[in-house]
Amino acid sequence: MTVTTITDAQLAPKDYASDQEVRWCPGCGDYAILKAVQKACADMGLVRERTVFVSGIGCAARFPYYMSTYGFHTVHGAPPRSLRASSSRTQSSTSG
Amino acid sequence: MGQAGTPQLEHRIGGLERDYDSGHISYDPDNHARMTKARADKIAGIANDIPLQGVSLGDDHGKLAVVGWGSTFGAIHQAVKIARDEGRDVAHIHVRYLSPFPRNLGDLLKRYDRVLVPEMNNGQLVKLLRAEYLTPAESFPKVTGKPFRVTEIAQAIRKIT
Repeated sequence: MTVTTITDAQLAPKDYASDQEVRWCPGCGDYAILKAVQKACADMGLVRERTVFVSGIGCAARFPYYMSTYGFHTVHGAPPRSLRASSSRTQSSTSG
Repeated sequence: MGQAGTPQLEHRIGGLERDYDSGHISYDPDNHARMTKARADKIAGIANDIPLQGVSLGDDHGKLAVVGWGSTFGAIHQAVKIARDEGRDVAHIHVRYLSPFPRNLGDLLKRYDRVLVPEMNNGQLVKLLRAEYLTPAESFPKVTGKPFRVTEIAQAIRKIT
C-alpha cells in the first residue's frame, strides 16, 4: 500500500471553520483550542475532505461541528471507529 | 450526504439534533418534533425488512397461544408439545423481533381466544403486547432467577385450556 501525502497549502485557519454557530460558555478555553487547532490545520496544510475529527461526550465534544472537515460527535470509545474511517476514506489525519 | 473523503461534501455526524433538510445542528422546536417523528418512522419501517411472525408449534389459530421470547423457548416448546399430546388446543409463538414487532403479530394473536406470556421478568413483553395490540394477553412471570420448568408452563396451560 502506498501512502501518499496530500497537503493543501492554500487554506487559511478560517477555511477550517464550519458555518455553525459556536456555542460554548463565555470565557471557555475551548474557543482558544478551536482557534489553535484551525491554525494548526492550516500550518500543516491538511486537506479537509481527508481529515476527520472525532469527539466523545461533553460540551468540548461539540468540536467537530465547528470544523469544516468530516466529523463524528459520538460516544466514548469512538477512536477505533474513527481510525477505521481515517484509514478507509481519509488520509491519516485523525484527531480525537 | 457524501461518503467520507469526498471533497465539498464535508459534514459532521453526531448526537445533537439536526435540521431535517441540511443536517446542521438545529435548536428549532418544530424541527425537533419533526425529527423525532422521522426517527420513530425509521424504526417502525424496520418491520418491512424482518420476517413475518410464524408459529413454532401448533395451529395459527385456536384457544390458546403461548407467546415467549428469548431463553424460554425450550421450556415453552416442550410444555406446548405435552399439552397438545393431551389434546389441548394450544400453540407456541416465539417472538424474535421486539422493536418493531413483525407486521402480522397483532393479527396473529387475535386468532386465538387467549394469549399467555411466560417470561423471565415481571411482565415486560406482555405489557408491550397489550399496549401495542390492546390484546388481553395474560402474564405468567417468573423472577426467581431460575429458568422455567416444563411442568410449570404445562400446568399453566392446563389451567386455561
